[in-house]
Amino acid sequence: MDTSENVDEPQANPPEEPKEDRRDFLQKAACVALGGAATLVPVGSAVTVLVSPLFEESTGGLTVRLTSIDSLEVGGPPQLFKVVTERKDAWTRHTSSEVGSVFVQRTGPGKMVDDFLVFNSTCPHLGCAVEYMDGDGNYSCPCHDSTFATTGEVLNQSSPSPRGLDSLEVEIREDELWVTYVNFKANVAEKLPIV
Amino acid sequence: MKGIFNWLDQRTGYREFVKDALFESVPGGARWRYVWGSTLTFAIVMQFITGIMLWMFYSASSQTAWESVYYIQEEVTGGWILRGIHHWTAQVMTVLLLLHLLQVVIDGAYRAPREINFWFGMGLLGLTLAMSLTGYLLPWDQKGYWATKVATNLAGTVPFIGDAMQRVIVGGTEYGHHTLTRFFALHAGVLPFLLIGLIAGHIYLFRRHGIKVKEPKKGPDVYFWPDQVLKDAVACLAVLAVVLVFVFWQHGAHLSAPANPAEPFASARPDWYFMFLYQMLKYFPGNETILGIASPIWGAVIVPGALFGAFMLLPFVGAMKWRLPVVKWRLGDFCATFFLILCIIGFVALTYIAFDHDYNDPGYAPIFAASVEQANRDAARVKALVKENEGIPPEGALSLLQNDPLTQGPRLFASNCASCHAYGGEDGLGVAVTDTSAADLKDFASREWLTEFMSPDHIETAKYWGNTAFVTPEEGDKESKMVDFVMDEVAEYGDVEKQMLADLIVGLSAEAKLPAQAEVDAAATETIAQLPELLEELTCLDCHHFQGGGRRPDLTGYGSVEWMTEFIKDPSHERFYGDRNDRMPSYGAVNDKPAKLSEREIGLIVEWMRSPHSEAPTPH
Repeated sequence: MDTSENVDEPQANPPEEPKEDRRDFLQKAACVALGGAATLVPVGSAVTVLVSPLFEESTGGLTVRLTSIDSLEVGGPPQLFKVVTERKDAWTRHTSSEVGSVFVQRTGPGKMVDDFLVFNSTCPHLGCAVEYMDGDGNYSCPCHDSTFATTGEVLNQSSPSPRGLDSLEVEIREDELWVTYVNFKANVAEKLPIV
Repeated sequence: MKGIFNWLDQRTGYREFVKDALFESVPGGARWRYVWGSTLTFAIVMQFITGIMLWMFYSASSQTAWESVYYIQEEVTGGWILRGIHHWTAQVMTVLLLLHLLQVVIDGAYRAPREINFWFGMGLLGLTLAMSLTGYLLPWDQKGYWATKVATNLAGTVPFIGDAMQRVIVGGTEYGHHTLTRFFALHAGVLPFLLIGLIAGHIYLFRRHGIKVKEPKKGPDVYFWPDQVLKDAVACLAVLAVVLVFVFWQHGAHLSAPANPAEPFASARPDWYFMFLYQMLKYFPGNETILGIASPIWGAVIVPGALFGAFMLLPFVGAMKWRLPVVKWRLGDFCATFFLILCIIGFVALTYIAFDHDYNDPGYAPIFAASVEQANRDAARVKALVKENEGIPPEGALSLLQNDPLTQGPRLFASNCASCHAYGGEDGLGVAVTDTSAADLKDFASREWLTEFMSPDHIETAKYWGNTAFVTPEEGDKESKMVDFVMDEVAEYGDVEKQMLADLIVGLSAEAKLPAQAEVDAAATETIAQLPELLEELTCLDCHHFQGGGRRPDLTGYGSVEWMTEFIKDPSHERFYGDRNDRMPSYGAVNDKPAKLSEREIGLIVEWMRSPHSEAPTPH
């Protein structure tokens, strides 16, 4: 008995130790896997809705009627027009909503697209609203003092705006001026539409 | 890598913290009965994650709450899963809380020295129920609105402070923006804050006293990690599986029609775990007093309060150490367990009685079912309208339903017309109408309707004029030439005349310009063009007026929107029945009498009656 125990014990124990370790490891791995799986579902659905704006379909530009051509004085100062359009904001459908404003200046007597200068009134620097300064005859942004000529380009070299005012595409439809309203990425030299 | 962890550990001591957290001793080995606390923690974490995400979409006001929840449920990618998880986890949590409570009492973990932790647990139970109650209102749908109204009115019955309490909770005397903003602040701010505090205390005290081991021990002592953690993880996964089954089965969570204070909602019920309280209220008649206190206060405040109080005293009950003979059960544990089981039986029984009444009571179940069906129809209809409209008007989704002929038409018909008329044998809202005294107006002015009306086999039936004074005159003064004509002359028609009548009906029915007949009318222009001649030849114009000559009732534009509107406004007008009108009242303003229905309401009825799909959409 005694001898067999002495002989047996070292033989019986060693095979158990690695087995114990493996069991321990498997158990821990199972904990992590199962716990992870349980957490993954709420976290996954949370992340899905969190980043859902990234997958929204682009709305593109909105083509909106601004005014009749005859109401614009040839060579007159730029005039600010509100851009009013139908718009869906999440769940709400607005039948007429003011989405922004544009400056319109009629430069020539004709009724061609080239006879009009139309700019988005948003400053290309960081999105403040640009104003037209009647006395100076140029555009100025009240936030960081960018100035722009009536033709749109940056006037003062110390202006922080990396590009001139963003011109917008216009159309003439039966003596009426229409604009495709688009906003552009702020603070870059390139004019990149946000759609 | 190791250097970074050492750096962190020297400054935070996180290793010690993790070790304390994971290497809690579990005497007697890991057991399934210990998992409930962990599953509840898991459920709370799920609620926090999904709740914060819902918060990113939710807008608390009476014009945007339902709308934003609709948006989450129907338009946000994965939104319905998120909302579904939040809703169903709340349901499952209630069950987990009960299981946890049961385990704590049965294992004797509620008594000394764990009394305070038991009270913390009871506090957590109350907070969780408060979370459910406040969350139920937030979608601002019919269900939540009417059920929560009951709850806040109950708060108002609390003696002395009730009125003030109710007003503070509701944010005024009426439900509105402030009710939502307050409930939302409670649901997403105050209550979670308290919940976290109590959970922290609960876990701290739990760790301080350790697990109350269920004797006899089943094995050697182990650590929390990984033995018990594994069991906990499996249990959490099972909880999640149950939640997901409900989420996918119900496609998220139910959203009924937008809240409408003017539209009673007979089937509004609290969540199922409040149904026992709801049922209990029925046993306290409003006109009685018990011990000088009005009976409803007993049902709403004293009895539930006493029950909660009794639970709070359980640790002291459990302190009774004397053991029962034979089974050797501690008297305290016996009493506490007995009390708990009694409460559970009461809970189950009252809940069962409440549901049984709604679904099986012969007198009430049909009313409840009709209300549920109506609610489902409205819910399906408003969703269809939002899709049709490609969005919700700024004034809210309720306006879509209020201006919808398919929703309002049948309601107005049921309350104004169905006392005399049926609509397909029903009152417009699905309740059968038997004792009519005027014609069934379903498909009025359609070819089928006119064909039967002009048939000797039908005109004297209850579906047409059978119950009117034209067929069964009371004093003999209104006997109808029309009925005589059909019964005597049409009955004698030969084949040629029958064909002429059929063609006439095609033409007359086309006057109504029914949307459902647009196609067949367009295909029958030649037949329709013969209408004036046919009316002449079949002697209709001896009595009737059509585009000029003849007398009343006017057949010009018969069954059209204009004709029906004017008819409903004043059937006794010379253009229609004149003094031969049976009993139909004028619904518009006539002479000096005010209008019974507005122009808009009459328009809704007419549009619904003429609608090609006048049967409301079936809920899906």
